[in-house]
Amino acid sequence: MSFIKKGLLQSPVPLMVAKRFRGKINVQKPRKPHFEKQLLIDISKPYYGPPKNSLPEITLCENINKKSYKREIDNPFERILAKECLDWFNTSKMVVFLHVNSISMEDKTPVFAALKKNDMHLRTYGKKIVSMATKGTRYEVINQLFTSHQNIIFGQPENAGKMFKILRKAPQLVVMGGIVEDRLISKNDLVEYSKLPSLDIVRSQLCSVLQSAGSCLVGQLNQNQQMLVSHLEKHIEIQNNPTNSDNLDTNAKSES
Amino acid sequence: MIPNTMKLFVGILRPEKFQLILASGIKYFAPPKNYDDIEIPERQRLRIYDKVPLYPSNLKPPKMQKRLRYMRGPELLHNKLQLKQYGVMATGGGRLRHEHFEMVRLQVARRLDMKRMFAIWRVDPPWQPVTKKGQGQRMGGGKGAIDHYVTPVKAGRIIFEVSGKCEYKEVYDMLRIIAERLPFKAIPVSQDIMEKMAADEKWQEENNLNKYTLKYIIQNNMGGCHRFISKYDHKWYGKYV
Repeated sequence: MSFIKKGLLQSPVPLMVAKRFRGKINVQKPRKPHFEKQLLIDISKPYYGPPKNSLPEITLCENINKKSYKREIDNPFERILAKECLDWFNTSKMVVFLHVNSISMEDKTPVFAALKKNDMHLRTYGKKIVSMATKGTRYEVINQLFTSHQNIIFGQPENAGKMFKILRKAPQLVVMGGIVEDRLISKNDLVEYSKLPSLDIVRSQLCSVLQSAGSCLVGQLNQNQQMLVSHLEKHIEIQNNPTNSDNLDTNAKSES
Repeated sequence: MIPNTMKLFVGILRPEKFQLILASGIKYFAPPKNYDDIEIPERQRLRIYDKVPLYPSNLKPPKMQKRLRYMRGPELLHNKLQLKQYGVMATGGGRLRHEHFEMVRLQVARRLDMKRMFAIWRVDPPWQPVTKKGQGQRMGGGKGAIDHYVTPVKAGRIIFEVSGKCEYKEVYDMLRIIAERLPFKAIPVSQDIMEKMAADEKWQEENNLNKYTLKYIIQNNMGGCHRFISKYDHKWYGKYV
């Protein structure tokens, strides 16, 4: 009986059961994951090394050897200023670099005006502008003179004396050095240069020196001949007047 | 020997220790960004979207199942800024009803400077019907009538874009207010932000020191996880539900 029941009457268990796939989800507020899935999520949490606040400070100093450079801005106005500055350098034969101590505009303006009257131009340029202007030119050396804003006088070398005279009124403007006729010279040399007379006079002096040497030579060469001539003349004179010589002889004899 | 305090004083009294050069330079104001390539179209504001899609007269509007798949997972097509400027991006899935479209449209109309900027939709007008049974009706009796239409949105979809001769800061407030009011999580984005987000994601993927990522676990059926994860986890590896 039991055999019949088992073999024939029992309905076969289906191998596959269709099942709807877990219903609808809430897209906005998803269900919390169950325990096993939460485990997976926790295990697979991303890890990007130990947190920075737990590290010793020395490891955070990545940039210790790197210099932080400011981002260079290409300012067109600066380029114009630099070009202007270079033009000044190129056109003026005398460039004087000044160190500026604290000075008010009230004191500076008369100096500026006096310099301008004498065809010299007092200009203020910053370090960056000057370095931009002189880059790649023969004036590159003067960058060392600049630490910040500094004043430069542009003019012609014949006015050096006047410049020193004007600057005497403003002791805050200290001359550091200058360029005269493409030559970088110190302050002392500049002072010396300013005391020299103008080029024409110096040239004439040189001419006279050269001439004096020549004339001296001529004189020295002529001296002996002239002496001889004069001696001979004297001799002729003595011979022409024998009486005088006789008298002299008798006088000498009587004395002896 | 000089005591330390004396040394300190000597240090302070030396004038060259505290040399400070005060110099004012030329102020540099960068020229404004050039927007000459942007052309403002005739219509600057957002278009009015119909509440109900237009069907031919011989066609009965079809009813639809919920089709939640339209809101699940990442958006793969409309996830970039067309105009390369600013917009609002959905960070979660959801559905936009007609009210939301109106809200966005009115806010944009109110806050957009129409001389310089314009806005465009990046989502379709409501097209998916949502049915509802009448109030107090008993269960049964077939599917209810169409109540309203919606536009499903996936995570990462751009909802609308703002472009023009403006910066992100100018439109940020508008975008933020709209993003807060949308029925899903959304953020205001600009092209830069989108690029940064992509770069960050890439970095995170490359620099993850935990080699047991969910992707690795699921692909290798670790811990027999295939028993209990959903089929969407095989697709998105736990990133989306």
